[in-house]
Amino acid sequence: MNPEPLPLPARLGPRVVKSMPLEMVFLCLFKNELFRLSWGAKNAHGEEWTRLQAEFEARLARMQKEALKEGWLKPQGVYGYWPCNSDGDDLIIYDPQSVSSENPRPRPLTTFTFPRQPDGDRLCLADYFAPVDSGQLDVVAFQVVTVGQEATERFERLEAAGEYAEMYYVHGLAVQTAEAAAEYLHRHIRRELGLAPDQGKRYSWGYPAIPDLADHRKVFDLLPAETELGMSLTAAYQLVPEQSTAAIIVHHSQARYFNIGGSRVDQLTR
Amino acid sequence: MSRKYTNRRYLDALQERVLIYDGAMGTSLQKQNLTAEHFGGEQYNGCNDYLVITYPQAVETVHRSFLEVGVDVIETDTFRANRLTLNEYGLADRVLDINRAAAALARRLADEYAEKTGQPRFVAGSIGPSGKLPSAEDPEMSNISFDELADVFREQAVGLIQGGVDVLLIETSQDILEVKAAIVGVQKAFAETGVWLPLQVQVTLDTTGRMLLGTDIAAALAILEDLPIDVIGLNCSTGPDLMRDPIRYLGEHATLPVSCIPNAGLPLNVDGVAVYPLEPQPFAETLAEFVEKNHISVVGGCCGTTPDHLKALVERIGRRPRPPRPILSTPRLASATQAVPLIQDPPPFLIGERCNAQGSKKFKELLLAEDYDAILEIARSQVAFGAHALDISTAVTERPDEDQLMRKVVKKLAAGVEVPLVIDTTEPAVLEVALKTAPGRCLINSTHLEGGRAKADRVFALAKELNAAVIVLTIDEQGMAKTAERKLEVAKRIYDIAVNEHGLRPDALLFDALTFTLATGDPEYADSAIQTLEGIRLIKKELPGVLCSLGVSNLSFGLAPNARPVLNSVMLYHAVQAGLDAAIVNPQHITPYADIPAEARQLAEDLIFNRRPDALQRYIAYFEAAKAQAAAETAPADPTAGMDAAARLHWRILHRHKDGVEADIDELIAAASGSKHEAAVAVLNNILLPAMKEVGDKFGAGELILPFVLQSAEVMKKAVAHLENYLEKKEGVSKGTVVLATVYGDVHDIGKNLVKTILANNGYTVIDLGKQVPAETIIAKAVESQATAVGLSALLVSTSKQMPLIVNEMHRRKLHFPVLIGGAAINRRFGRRILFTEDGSPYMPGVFYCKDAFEGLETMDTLIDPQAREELLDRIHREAEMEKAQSAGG
Repeated sequence: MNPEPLPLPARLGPRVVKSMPLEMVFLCLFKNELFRLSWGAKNAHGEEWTRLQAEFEARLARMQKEALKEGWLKPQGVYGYWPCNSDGDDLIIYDPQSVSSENPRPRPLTTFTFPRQPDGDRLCLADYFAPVDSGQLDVVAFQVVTVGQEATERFERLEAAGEYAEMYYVHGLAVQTAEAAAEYLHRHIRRELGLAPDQGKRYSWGYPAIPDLADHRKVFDLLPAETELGMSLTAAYQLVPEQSTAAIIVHHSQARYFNIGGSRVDQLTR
Repeated sequence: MSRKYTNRRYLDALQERVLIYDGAMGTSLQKQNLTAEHFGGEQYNGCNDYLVITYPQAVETVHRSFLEVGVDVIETDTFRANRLTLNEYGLADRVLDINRAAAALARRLADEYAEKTGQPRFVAGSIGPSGKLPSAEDPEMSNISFDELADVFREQAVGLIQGGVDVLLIETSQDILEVKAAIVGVQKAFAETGVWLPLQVQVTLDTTGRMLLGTDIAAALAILEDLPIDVIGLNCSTGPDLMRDPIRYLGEHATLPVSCIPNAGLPLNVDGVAVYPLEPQPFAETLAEFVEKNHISVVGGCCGTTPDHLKALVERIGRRPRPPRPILSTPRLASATQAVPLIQDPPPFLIGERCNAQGSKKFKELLLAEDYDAILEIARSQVAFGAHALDISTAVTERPDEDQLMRKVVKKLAAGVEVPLVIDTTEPAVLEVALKTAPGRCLINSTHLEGGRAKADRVFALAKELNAAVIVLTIDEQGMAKTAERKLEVAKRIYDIAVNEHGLRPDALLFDALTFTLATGDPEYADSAIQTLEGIRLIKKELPGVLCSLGVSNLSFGLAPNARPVLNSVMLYHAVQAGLDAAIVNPQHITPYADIPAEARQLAEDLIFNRRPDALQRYIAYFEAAKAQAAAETAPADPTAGMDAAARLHWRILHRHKDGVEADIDELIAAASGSKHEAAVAVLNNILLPAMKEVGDKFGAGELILPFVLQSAEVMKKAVAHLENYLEKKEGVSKGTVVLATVYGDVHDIGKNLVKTILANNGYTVIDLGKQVPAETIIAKAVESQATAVGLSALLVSTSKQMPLIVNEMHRRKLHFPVLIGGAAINRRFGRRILFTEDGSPYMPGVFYCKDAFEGLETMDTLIDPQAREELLDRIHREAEMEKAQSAGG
């Protein structure tokens, strides 16, 4: 694969998005996922699906209106750009301060090591970036978004009150709104980098290309999620509040989703 | 009646070409990093409108930046310069100063650039919202009267007019009732100053295409287009991309020129700065598309648009001739949220008559009790039966405050039903209150010339001022017109007054040719229905454009209740054939002509068309006979009718109906022979638990989705809570105790919560330890509570690894708790693997993978049955051995 390094953006390093317009974030909702995965319609089809869809659409409109009015979903995030190079399976992140035309060797801040597919195409995320020996710097973006702590409190309250169905719907909407906020911010990043609306991919830890959550620690060291958004990591590197996602954003036009392989049970009992 | 102008330069220019407004004032001022000093002190910091007094250079800079790139129109810096919003800064007494100064500043700069460039430049006086939402239900937001609000806008408009603007611009409107008040206020300012200018009105829609309180674009157009305005459009909000649908609608339906002045998208806040996502080029492209495809006449930029955006727009649009506009509009009424065409296909437009204190005893009682929720229910049921609009009459002899009752009912219904309102009163003062409370476009019911024209003049004036349609009865000083010719004669006279004198559009008039009851047998009225039908025909033919309406039910007044619907329905059919557009009816009582039995139809037509002398007797006799039968057939179906309490309770759980479970349980306990405790246990075991089991089976078979199961669980919870009143002790009632936890490091607990809901509502005691629970806490709690089993949940691969750790530890301590596991990352194989502990021996009490909450329930039910438990344990141990052998071999 040929690297496609991008010129470095004017402002490197982290940025804080204290608020995103919720109604625009809602436009990024993937309704199919919301209705089928998060609201339990699964693979309903035919008349049942038509009926459920109508019911869910009405419910969604009502819940969105409530959320806009009451503010219990507060999409916010941190993101930023870093100069980087790949080195084998590694992605070396450089200190933006150390980048200048006079300094050919910027100072590494941290290194991500990504898993490589054991066979087949032998894909690895690092391959999408300009290698260290290419003599060219590349750029990588990271983002962390959350819909805030109030969502968690809301469904804990509903659960305690025995409003099980409402709790389930609220939980599902919060989960999918966190995903929508990630998509919204990703679109913003694409605009800032001058990319086409569909160029590049966003990868989150815990998914097949990068299953290991431990890298969340490195992302949190780069981005002020803890200080600015009040977020934290659990002992198993999960994000708190629950309705949050972290991602690495790859701009390479050939980037695609892949699975590093190995059965889940093997991963579990490793 | 045409509008009056003392300065119509703006309209003349608009007749010729597309006009381009400037860009953002607020966000452009923000970029100048102004300090409190510029605003005239800390207490005025952020009051952009006050800058025209304290630091006009800042505003001048913004105006110049846009005039430089060639825009045609600049907006005054007065968006919030009304008495209410200025009062937030203690500047309520400066309204006139500020508006005059802002207008004069813009005027000077516009004239300077016009002279310099030869391009005419216009000043639009910006009038933003007051901050109140008069049609909101929230009493705090709506605590201002229509007239007070109109006066707030009058005052601001006077300042702008005196400062020399060319056009007044009501913009960014959120509440359609406030827009009406603003328009009324601006008209008063014109009258007061003697300067009559064009008026442009723009509303703001959200991403779903609605104003803040739900008004869609079709409703906004129906409500505004016949008010004295010259341009209608959209501004601010979400950016042009999301305005496509409403802009297309305005392009196709508005006879007025249309404006579109969007934001550069909605901003996100990056490092404390609002970032507007839309770049100049795509901004200009989309607006150019609106001009070309949707015939928009006025474009420009709102929040976040810079001189670069406007430069791109000027270059892209250039000097472009005025786009064509549609000439015809169709008559529509509107509720607060949607428009409804008066000409229905198929006709007629049905006006529900049940919210009438004179016609409905039930409504009158509710009105006297001021039970507005129940009134709303009557309204909703009429809509459910097909009413396109609702008649409201609050005149009752018992109370003197018809106007206040009317105001409250209108407010309640405007917020609660989606159909337009028909204001039914004989008092112009009550009518005025209603029209100033209803956000939508109403129909007035009704006026006539019985006592001369004074009252009708007042009604038509109100209809014109507030854009309502009017039902007019063919009654004059000589009384009710009985022949078709007299009906036409009166109609022509009223038409002349309403259309030629008051300037109402012909299609704002709905003539009612009057119906008289046929139930008296009075020979004077025997031909009255024929005359009515002929009257409708004549009026529609002789007065093109007008509509006809009819209070159909009068026809059968005095007949037995079961005899009325058929006569009304048959009359309605023939009236529609004659050209009727609308009818006031009980929509529940209207039967399609074809569905009426031939014999009944024949009898009704004999009566309507006066075909035989005994038509009335024959009609009455037919319905006497039909009475008993009809009553039996129309009894409403109760799905639980005929069920005993046990069956009802079962039905309620299965069908997710909470209401009535307590009564069912009380009935069952009362009927039981043994102790109340035993009876309660029996209800739990024989009715409630089997019902939940059936719900679970239906979920398993894919017949129910999860949220519905949870609603059944809510019914179950309610039933069990009530049952507990009869239980003497809890012991022996619980099927077992389960300690549940989401494991350490894991914050995802929706799955665990669902398991808890299902187990708890199927007879188990659940101890929920929450999420991120350390192994030691789980084990200690299981020991302490002598748990029947332990349930563990985890979302991810990494946290699922806690599960074998806990199994190993319990094995080491020789504990006896079966372990149920579930979660997105694990599967049955994983369960078999971790049955074997670190020392290679299996965990004897068992590890059970459960794919969902119902498998968890099934597993628990098996574990508490000693024999079934042995069989299950045998099976999982055997399966685990096989798995182990396979993976060792493979």
